[in-house]
Amino acid sequence: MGNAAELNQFLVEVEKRAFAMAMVSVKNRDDALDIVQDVMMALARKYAAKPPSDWPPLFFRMLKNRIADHHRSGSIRRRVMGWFSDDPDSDIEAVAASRQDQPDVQRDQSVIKQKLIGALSELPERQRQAFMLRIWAGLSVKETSDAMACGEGSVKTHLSRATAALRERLPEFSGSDDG
Amino acid sequence: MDELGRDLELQQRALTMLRETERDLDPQTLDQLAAARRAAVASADSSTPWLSPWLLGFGGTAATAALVLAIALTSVEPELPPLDQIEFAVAQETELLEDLEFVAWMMLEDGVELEDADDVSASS
Repeated sequence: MGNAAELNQFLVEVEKRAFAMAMVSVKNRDDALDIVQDVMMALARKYAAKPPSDWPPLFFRMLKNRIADHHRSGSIRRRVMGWFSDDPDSDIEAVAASRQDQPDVQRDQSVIKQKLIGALSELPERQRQAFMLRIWAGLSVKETSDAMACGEGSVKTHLSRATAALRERLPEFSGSDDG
Repeated sequence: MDELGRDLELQQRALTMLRETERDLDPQTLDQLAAARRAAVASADSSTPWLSPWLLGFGGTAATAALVLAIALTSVEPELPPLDQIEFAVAQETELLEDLEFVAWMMLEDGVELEDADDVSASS
């Protein structure tokens, strides 16, 4: 059973990852912050008394669900409010390329990073979920299948397709010639 | 390298780069995330009965003590009085019985005498 210090430490470990994952998915800084805040609060209120080993799958499952809710509710809002807002990709590009004043090598890395995030954000939702939960969040296949409410075979299929799509869009990631 | 190996390599390189992205977050975002975290932990503090190791230890000790007490109360046999007290009580009982026998004999004797007296008065 967890305590307050353990919960705080867990959230310290996952908060930046959760925000970055939300940014990749919703492409808006304020929305991403709201989502992460909601998920933190829900975990603390509903599952704080659970063993700490249960927190990662619960946290990332709620994050996935909250992002999906945002997409569902946002599709109508974007249609109505779209002409008032700036380019929705501007925030995510700002996060990925926040260190433009770096030397050339690092700037190249920043560009690749930006391309990776862009490619990840453009994946079909289920493929993106599988990649983010299984690879980025580090959940097991079983935990990922629970979070996605599908079978383990479906997780592997979504992940395989996501990886193939990323390879196609990111030739820099193929092969081992550039270390 | 086979396809599986290339998939794993791409996934590993992507993970490394995504972790770097987490470290690139600006100070304002980090401050806001920290504030959200503190609020969440505070909400858990107010709504969750945390069971600290100390409290768990205390609870365990209390449960053990209650169990021992329950066993003790249900298994203790009634304490017998000392033997000399028993002998004294028996002696008292014996004397009482002897006294009762004597009283009964006296009453019997008296009854007989009363009957005799009645007979005398009736005849006179």
